[in-house]
Amino acid sequence: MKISSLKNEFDQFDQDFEIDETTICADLGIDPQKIADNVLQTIAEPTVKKNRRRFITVFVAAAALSITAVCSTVIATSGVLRPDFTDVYQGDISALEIRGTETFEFAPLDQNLQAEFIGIVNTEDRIVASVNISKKDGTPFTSSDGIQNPSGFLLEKLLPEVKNNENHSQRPTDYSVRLKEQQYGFDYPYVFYVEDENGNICEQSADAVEYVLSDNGKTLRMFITAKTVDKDLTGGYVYITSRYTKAYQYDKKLKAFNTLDETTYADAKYFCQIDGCDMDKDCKWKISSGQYALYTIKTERLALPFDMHFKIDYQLPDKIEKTLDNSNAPQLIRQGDQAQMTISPTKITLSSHKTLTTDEINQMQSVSPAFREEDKMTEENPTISIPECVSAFSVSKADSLQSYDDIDYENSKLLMTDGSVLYFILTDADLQYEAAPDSSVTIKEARTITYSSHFVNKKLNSINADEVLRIFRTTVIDPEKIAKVIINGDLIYAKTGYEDMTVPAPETYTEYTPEDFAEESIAESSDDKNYLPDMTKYEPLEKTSNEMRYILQQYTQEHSLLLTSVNTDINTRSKDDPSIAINRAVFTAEGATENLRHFLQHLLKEEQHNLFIISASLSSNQDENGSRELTVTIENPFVADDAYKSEQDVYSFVIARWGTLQRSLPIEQFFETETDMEKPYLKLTMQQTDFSKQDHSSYSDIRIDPNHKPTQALTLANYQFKQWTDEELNILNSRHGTNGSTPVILHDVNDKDNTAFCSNSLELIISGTQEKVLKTVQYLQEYETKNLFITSVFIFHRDNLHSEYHLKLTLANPYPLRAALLNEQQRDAYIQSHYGAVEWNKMLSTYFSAIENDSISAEFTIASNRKTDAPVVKADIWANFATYDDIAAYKDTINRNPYFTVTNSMNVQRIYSLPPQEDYLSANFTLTTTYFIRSS
Amino acid sequence: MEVEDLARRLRKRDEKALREVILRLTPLVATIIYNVSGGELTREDIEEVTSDVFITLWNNTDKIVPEKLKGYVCCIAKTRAINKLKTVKSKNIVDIDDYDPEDDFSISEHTEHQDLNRELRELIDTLPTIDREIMIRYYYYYQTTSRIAEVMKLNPETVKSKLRRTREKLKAKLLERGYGV
Repeated sequence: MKISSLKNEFDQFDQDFEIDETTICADLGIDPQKIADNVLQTIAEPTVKKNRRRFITVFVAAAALSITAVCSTVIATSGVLRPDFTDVYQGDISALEIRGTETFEFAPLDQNLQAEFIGIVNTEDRIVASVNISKKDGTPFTSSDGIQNPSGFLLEKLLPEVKNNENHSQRPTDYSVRLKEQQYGFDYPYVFYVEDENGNICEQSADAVEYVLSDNGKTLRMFITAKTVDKDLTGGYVYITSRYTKAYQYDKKLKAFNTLDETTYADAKYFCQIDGCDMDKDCKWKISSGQYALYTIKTERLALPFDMHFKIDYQLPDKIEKTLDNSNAPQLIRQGDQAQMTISPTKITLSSHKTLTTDEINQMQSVSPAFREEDKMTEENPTISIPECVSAFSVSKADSLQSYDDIDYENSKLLMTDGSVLYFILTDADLQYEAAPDSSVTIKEARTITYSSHFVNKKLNSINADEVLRIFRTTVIDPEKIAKVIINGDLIYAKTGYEDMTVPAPETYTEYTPEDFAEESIAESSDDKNYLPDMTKYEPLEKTSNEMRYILQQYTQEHSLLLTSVNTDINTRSKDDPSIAINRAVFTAEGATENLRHFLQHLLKEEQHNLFIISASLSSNQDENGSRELTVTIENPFVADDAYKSEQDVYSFVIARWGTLQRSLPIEQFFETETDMEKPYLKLTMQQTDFSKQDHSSYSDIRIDPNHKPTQALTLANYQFKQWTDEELNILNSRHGTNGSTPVILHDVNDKDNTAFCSNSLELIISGTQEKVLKTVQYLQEYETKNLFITSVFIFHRDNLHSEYHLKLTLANPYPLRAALLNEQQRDAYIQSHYGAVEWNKMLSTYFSAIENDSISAEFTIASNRKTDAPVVKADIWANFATYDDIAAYKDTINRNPYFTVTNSMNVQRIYSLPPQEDYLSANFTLTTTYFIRSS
Repeated sequence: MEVEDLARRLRKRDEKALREVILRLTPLVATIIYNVSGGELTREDIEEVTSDVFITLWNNTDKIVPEKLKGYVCCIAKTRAINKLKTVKSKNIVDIDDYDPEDDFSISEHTEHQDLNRELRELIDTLPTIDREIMIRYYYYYQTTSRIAEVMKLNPETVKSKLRRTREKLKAKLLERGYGV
């Protein structure tokens, strides 16, 4: 028998240990008299309560009976458009017909079950019906033995016997719908069938039923998906017979992998074997935190006995069809070929179907170098590769594989009736060949253009290369809303009445040229450190994407730079003032360092014209020509709803958000220091937000790699605000020295909190005995009145041999960036909210007294409570343990500790070692405490 | 009146005795609740749990052993405090969906437990007085080491080292008696 912990055991004692009570009792201000009155009053009440309870029970039972009587009849609801289908389709779902039917019948064998029919949606190739199942008594679909966490509670798909037709009970799945992430990676057995009007089982019913458990565990939403194949079916009945389903819960995390390939899969199997389980049967994969985690599962059977059926009126949505040939689509269709175009709500299909003789193919072969000798059709090789040139389309494979930068997107697009444009590229052709005995070959070719939400409402220049291929979800478009279809430069369809509609012309930028501000003096000299943008000239005007691109192109050319990438269409609204819109651009320019510096300064002038530099990052690598890469983010704020804004309001907003920082200084410094110090990267970030609106998002920092001279870093980081004074640094040095600790000023680690303050931080390492490090921490805390705050403590090493601890402390010396905008009170409030007053030494001594494990590291930081935004201290603990019992005991100690609450997942991983070393468990978890924060 | 007499009267469902017990034991019960909660419970919470302890006592008067009344009340107080703490803490828990070792943790059956309880008690009684008191204060009454040091007029470090040594001693003895620790 094992003991968990002494505390646990002591809790079981019911003996009196005869310790002097007076030394046990604390003065808590609890009035025994009041307790006695409460207790005696409570124990006098039960008689009344019991009677009332009895009455309620009878009433509820009677009510339940009457409700059962009503609900046991057919439940039928009419279909109403609800957001329930958004997991299946994106886009304008209302464009499609969503129907409920009055034929829905639900016959539960367990009278506690009830169902609500949500509706059916269908496109040309699938139908999805949705039904909610719940319990009448409102209890969740959870078992009594502790499966209570809905997020970890998944349901296997039920596999009920199919009514009237045994043959359909085991049809394999050929299609599954991606619903929620929790469903990822699971396959779904066939579960229902569709019968036509004459009672015949239809061919097209092989598909899936999925359950999604609601967050409260009380509703099972059932999605029934059918995929239609070739047959036209206009109506029929769906029958579902259910008796139970399998539920499972994630149990123990065995291993997590960053990727899932053959090697990791084999590893996973190995880990399962070690753990004595069968990966296929006993484990499930789960994606969490971007990793593929393998869990063992606990399974159980959930009774879900019901029959249901409903009628579907299966109507294909309207399609637009047209025959294309070289005369009406000269750039798309080859001479002599034909293709059929079909525009449906989910895609555009281009298909051609033709038969060629061997001679014709051979002729093509002779003109097609790509067609090799072994590709010839022979008797032994009746299925052959066919040269690309047999394609009916003049879109070559090469075209569809070319770099996204080279694609002319204007060539293929949809114009919607509302004026929006949808761009797409043609996919590779799906070519099928069939050789006939008469030496002819039938060639079926199809190209499918699936709509993607990525394209909708996006302009040409905002398509990022990596976005194009990410088309996972189907977007549904009402064909009626398509005004024009242009493919490969050919207008292949125009809706009646929209023939004259043109693509919106690119926005013009003639009103704004660099000449407009040519007379402005440009601070090109690093000596001109007093440069300050003249905010009175600020123009609260929108710069369109094209204008921004134009400016960037002009400036880069002027400074002999190459604009290598630009994304100018990142548009948002200000969070704290939604009437202000912000256009953002991110671009990269290449060229000589000096040219980049001038370019950035030139761009700085744009602040007067409403284009603010938010961040700049300079590459450290220089090519053989001395060229570097500069990536810049700029923002253009403007008043979107100007009816509500005065000039002054806008001016104040802009001043508050983008400030009047003397940016020329850090920009100069940015380049100069970069040259002086060899380091992998240097990044300048600027951002301000109106502090008075409580949106503390202002900071200015220069992040620098730690491997360089610390003093320079400090000087740089605090260049224009408030530096660490020599005195302060001396104090730190000398005082730590007297405490036996060694301060190491590492580097600036500026404020992460988006504040209106420069945090002016530094890190130092102190080492020593527990007592000494605590003393140092205590001493540093005394400096909090002098604006020196400990913001984090990282215990990264514990030297048991010498009983020493090594602590890395982060200290902040916060200083407002724009003193004029802040009064004393705001400053104090800021400091209170950001730096708390954490009694670090007390917290640490508590921590030290709680640790018994030799290999524990911990980091304590001030964080914000997600809900209340109040400052809390967060502790991340990493520790190694021999057994799960050790973890339990440790966690038990932590939980009994008054100062901490475990607030995050405990992540336990077994680390396998080779003998003679033993395997161990690596655990990491987060604790939070609010205990030591004094509220302001 | 002695606590034992009150306990006997409680067994006879004497409400006056209950009032007396409440007046006598409230400071101890409240302190235990406070210590167990480590300051996480508000005064209102402590009052609520204290009342709950005595209501539980009243509903279980048949289980009272007169000589063990105080211990029994302490035991209820600790259980109630831990339960309360769990409800308070659970409000803060963001997400514990991974393996929780505590779920698997169980200390065998009741009878075995009683054996262990008895043996542990025996071992505790063999400890030197000071060590025993420190241990009981720390583990049973949930006092902090600094508070123990204060009331026993010891150096906090001494308290900690004594605790550690006593723990090791107990561990060794329990191992000798066949218990895994």
